[in-house]
Amino acid sequence: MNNPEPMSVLNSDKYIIISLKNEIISPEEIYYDLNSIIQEINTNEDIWVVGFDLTKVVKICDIKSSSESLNISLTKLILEIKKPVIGLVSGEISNRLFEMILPMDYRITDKKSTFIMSQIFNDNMQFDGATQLLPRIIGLNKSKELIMFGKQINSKEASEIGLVNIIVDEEKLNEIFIRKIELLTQFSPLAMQFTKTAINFSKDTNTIRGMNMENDLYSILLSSKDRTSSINSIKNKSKRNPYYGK
Amino acid sequence: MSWKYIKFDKNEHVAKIIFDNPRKNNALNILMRSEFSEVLNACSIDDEIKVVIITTNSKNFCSGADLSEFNTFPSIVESNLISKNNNLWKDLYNFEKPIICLTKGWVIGSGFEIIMLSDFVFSHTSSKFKMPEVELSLTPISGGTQTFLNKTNVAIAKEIMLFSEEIDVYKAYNFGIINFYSDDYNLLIEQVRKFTENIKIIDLKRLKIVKKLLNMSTEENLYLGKHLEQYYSESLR
Repeated sequence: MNNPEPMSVLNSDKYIIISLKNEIISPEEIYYDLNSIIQEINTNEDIWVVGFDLTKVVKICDIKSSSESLNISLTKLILEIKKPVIGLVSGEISNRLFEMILPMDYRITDKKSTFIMSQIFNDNMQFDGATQLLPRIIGLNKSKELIMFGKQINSKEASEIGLVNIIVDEEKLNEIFIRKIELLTQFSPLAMQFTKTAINFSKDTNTIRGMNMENDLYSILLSSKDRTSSINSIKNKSKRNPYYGK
Repeated sequence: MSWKYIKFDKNEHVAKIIFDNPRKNNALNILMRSEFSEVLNACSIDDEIKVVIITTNSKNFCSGADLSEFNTFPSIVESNLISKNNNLWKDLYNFEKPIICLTKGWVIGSGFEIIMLSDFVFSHTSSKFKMPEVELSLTPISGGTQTFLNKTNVAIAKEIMLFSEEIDVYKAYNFGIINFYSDDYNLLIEQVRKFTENIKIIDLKRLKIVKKLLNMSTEENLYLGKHLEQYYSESLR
């Protein structure tokens, strides 16, 4: 896979880490490359988990051209990733950078990080899905506090409301990031993918319809070699070796 | 009437469904699930019963599905049909009367999903909650991917289901998964008793409607929910 500027892509065994390298990112600069990387992630059976390292990013700018603005959505791209996505952020996570972490499945940050959406004070508003994604993560009440009052919260508060999953010391950020990614590479990729799909679906449907979908996904998984071999290894107490089940 | 893996007890308005498969830590096999379903349906049509408690007398509440039954069916079609025809989880979700779970020990997989399908959870501090499905190359099948979001948020749901991490009662309480916890099991039983005693005086029809409306609030549009609340409220006058 190419390493397009200003992104770097690390391909490792069963996972991929996409790092944004510049402090200031313009969505147009990365959108098309990111799009092609994500298409490859979704079709490449050797990639089970995706990591986004955004620790170097200070700001994601607004899109300059209004004609392009409706076509360029970073969160929409991330939402399209079928594999689990782990995000790493640090510092002041504001506005569009804040929006970018919302479609990720697991968010890691450090003790000093803060989170703010202040668009409303700048004759502006959320653009990349925050009004829809944030309430699905932290509930309507807290979302209104953050979006309508531009309230800044620290990482402890962010963790308490479910915005971030884990807070670690700054020097351990990378280590924990890799550890979490590698933990997921021990699990069945297909089971992870289907579980993620079903959870994401649950917010947009009623419980019974969602349960039917869960059942359908389970049925597909039932015929996978991965599941059969996994159950047999549990029964035989032998070593389990998950692979991208067919 | 008696069942192999379920004990049933009814005292005035309170029914108790007791998991009784201690040799397998109350792992749910096909027969146990069908017995559970039968007892639940009996509770549903018995108008004397206003509240159901699901619990166990053994060490662990429920250790999930009985894995020894997996991969034992002659064809995938057959095992597929078994999961498709199993309405227990939907029956639990649609059960009109309040359900209380009283847990201790392992609350794993389907066991965890049962408490997510119930209305109130009282847990002893020995309770350990875990969704190991992904770790075992499975996906949740008892509604977990849908019901977790009714009680907690999507970040926590993904943390529990994608990472298969075990959580204790303190975390479960903070996540909004359980309502009460104590290290004194007798105290917990007493709390449940007081709770069910309060329900005794409430009209069953009212109880069912309020539960239905509350469940609707997480999945239907606000105006429909509000309209139905007014409609039901008027009809109960």
